[in-house]
Amino acid sequence: MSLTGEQLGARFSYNCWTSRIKGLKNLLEGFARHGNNYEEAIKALQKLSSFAWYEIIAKRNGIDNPFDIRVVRAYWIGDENLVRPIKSNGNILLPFHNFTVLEDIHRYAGITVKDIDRCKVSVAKVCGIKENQIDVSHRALVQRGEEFSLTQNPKIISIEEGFVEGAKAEDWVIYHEGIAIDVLSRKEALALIRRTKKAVKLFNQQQA
Amino acid sequence: MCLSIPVKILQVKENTAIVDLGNKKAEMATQLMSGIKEGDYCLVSNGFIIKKISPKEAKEIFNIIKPKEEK
Repeated sequence: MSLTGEQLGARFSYNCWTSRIKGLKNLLEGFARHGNNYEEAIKALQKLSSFAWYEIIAKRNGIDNPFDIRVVRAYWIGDENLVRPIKSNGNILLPFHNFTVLEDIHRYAGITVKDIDRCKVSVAKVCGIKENQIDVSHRALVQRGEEFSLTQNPKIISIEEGFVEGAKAEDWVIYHEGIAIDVLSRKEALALIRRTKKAVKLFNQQQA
Repeated sequence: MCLSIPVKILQVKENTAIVDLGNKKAEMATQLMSGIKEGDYCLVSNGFIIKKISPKEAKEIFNIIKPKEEK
């Protein structure tokens, strides 16, 4: 059976801050992995801020179901057709996770660049596999002054194998909060990297 | 972030609302969120109000993320 939008949303969300705060981690992980407790899981997913973004993308594209797989993928991975900038009073909003993840961290206590880096959706090539762990060449989000950027030199980090059992060296995997979510084609991976750079640039421009 | 910043609505205007960011007031676009009123708590992102939340949810988030005091 192919992956549903609800399951993809749960994969991305189960280990995030909000799920942990709300005590939804186990419920959403069980749903993401095995499809357990469908109705409860849907209610839980609707409590997360990602659902607000699904609703926004769906509404702007005339799609009835916010959990439509196209909508969920568009928010987390990006889609130039479904994710278009929203403008108001000189502000531009991109309903794409790697844009919405960026915050003016100087204004808030409790958020660090490392938190945001873990929370951004990353994609990297697999360079090693251990038991239940995958090594990837991670390009971290860093901040110099007010500006965010991605490091030029990747660093090897270990992430949980998550949902990419069977992934092999040189595969492109997408990961969030230290959990591997899916394997992407090279084309999809490069598109996500390009979108992420564009999102960072847009955010920096708006902070200037 | 997956954890968006909560604000309290202070005043609702035609297409915007004045919100309490903890250490200052700011004007946020309301075009993505209809039906908000003074006293509501909402999540915001890059100048836009995106979702209404309960005061309890706002408090849970404020326990983790707090606006820094202005110097």
